[in-house]
Amino acid sequence: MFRALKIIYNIIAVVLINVFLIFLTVINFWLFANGEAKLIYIIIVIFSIVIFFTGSFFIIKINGLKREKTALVRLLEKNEEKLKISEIEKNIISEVFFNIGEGILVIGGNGKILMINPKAKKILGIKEKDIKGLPVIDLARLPDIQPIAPYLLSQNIVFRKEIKLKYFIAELSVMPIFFDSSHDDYKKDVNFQPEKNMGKLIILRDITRESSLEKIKNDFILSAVHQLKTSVASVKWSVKMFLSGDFGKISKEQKDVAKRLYERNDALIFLIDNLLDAAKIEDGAFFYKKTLIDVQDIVESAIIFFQDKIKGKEIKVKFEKPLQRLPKIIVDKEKIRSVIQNLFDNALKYTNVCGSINVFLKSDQNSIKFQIKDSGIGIPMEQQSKIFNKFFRAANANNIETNGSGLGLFIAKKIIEDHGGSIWFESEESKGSAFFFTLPIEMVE
Amino acid sequence: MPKNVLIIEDDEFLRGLINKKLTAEGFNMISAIDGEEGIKKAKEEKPDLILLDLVLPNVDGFEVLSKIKEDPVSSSIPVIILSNLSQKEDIDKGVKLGAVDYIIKAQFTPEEIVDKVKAILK
Repeated sequence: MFRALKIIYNIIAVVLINVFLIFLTVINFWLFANGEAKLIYIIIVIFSIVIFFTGSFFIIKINGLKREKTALVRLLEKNEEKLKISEIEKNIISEVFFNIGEGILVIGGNGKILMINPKAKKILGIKEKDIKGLPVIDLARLPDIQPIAPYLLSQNIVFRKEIKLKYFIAELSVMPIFFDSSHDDYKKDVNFQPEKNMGKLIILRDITRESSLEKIKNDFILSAVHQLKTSVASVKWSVKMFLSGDFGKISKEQKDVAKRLYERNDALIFLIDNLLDAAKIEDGAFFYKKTLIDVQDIVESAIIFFQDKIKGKEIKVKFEKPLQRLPKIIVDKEKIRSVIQNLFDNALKYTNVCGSINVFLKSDQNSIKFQIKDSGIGIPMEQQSKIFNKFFRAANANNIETNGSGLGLFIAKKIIEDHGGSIWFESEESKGSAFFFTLPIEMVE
Repeated sequence: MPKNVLIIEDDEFLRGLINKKLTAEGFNMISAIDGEEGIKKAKEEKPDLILLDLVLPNVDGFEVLSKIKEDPVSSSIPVIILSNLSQKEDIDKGVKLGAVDYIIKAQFTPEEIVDKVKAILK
């Protein structure tokens, strides 16, 4: 604003001076005109006009230059400010890089170490002060970091893989990193070489403490479960021996009570196993050991397992065997047994005395299908969606049988789905339920 | 001649029950209450069969099993593992070390144990 006023002021000044000069010239011309003087005056007039225009021109020009100069200075100032900010940002990032709890290693497109932070050095057990620029292949040769070496060299993406090193247990993640943030534009360029612009970012999380705590917890659970099981096993054995008459003849009433005690104890064993499984599922420590098995064997042994209960409730159990032996499948035998036992246990629990249970087993090209259908109390419509939830028990189930953890179907679903199969049911309240599951048949040579 | 069965089990109650059951079936029972005693009796008494618990004080069952299988004096004695460790790894480990069978206590009745013993000694 001020600058513009200044220019106008300058122009007005020059104009006024010139007008004044012209005015003087004209006055002189008219008052004292003779031949020679006239010429001089004309020259003066022309000269004044020339001065007027050139003066104006230069004033405008100088002002323009001035303007450009200030713009340039401002730009420089701005850049300096930006540089300062980026310097601060760089310092912050570098502080974070050096002090972060995770070990970070950056490998350039040429396979050389670009950056490594102290935590990564600590986890990897590297004592050398400066290993920047060292080819990663040399790093991979160090004896202490052998467990991690293959991941340093391969191009694969790794996500949170637990690796045991000499002094640390680390969780390793490896991901590609693009050094040019505008790599998308680069891709359009025919000369773009992604491998030159792409390195690797390796993140190491120290989980030594976590895994030791995890181990303490698991050891504790295992030891507690072991003690519980020793107690329930001794009850099982002694009651069974009472019932078998090993401690002398017992009356009918004593026998009835001992039988109930025996069944209750078996339910407790079942519950302990289910609780342990649920805890393992929660921990992600639920593992499978798969072998080649015949599902029919498991179904038959489950029927034998529940024989006393079946007889006790006078339930008609019918097992419709497949016409020919089913192909063997690769599954975790104990886990599938637990699924079938859980489904069978539910069918027995929620079917009234003298009811019926039908078990079917068949297969098509791709899968084995198991079905257990009972004439029991069924599942109320409005609660059907929750039936596989952990700890969920339908209201009518709670009414007739207070024992039950609500874990059986939760575990069954997890096991079947982890085996690549599916589990579902059809049910109508007061009429009965049918539970189904399928297990894929994998081609075995 | 009655067959000798050595039971290596630290739980007195369980040990007593099995002893009673197998004695009634005509077996001569020998008891050991920890791993060390178990190894000693396996070598000295040379039983016809060993019932071995896994979680034992001092020397655990896996070690007892490998010691028994290492020594030619006792290596041919069949060993049935009797435990509540029902994890697949434990069962595999036991079988790998030379156990003929694996009984999970809470899943078997004394009768079934007798049947297994009889089947092996037949």
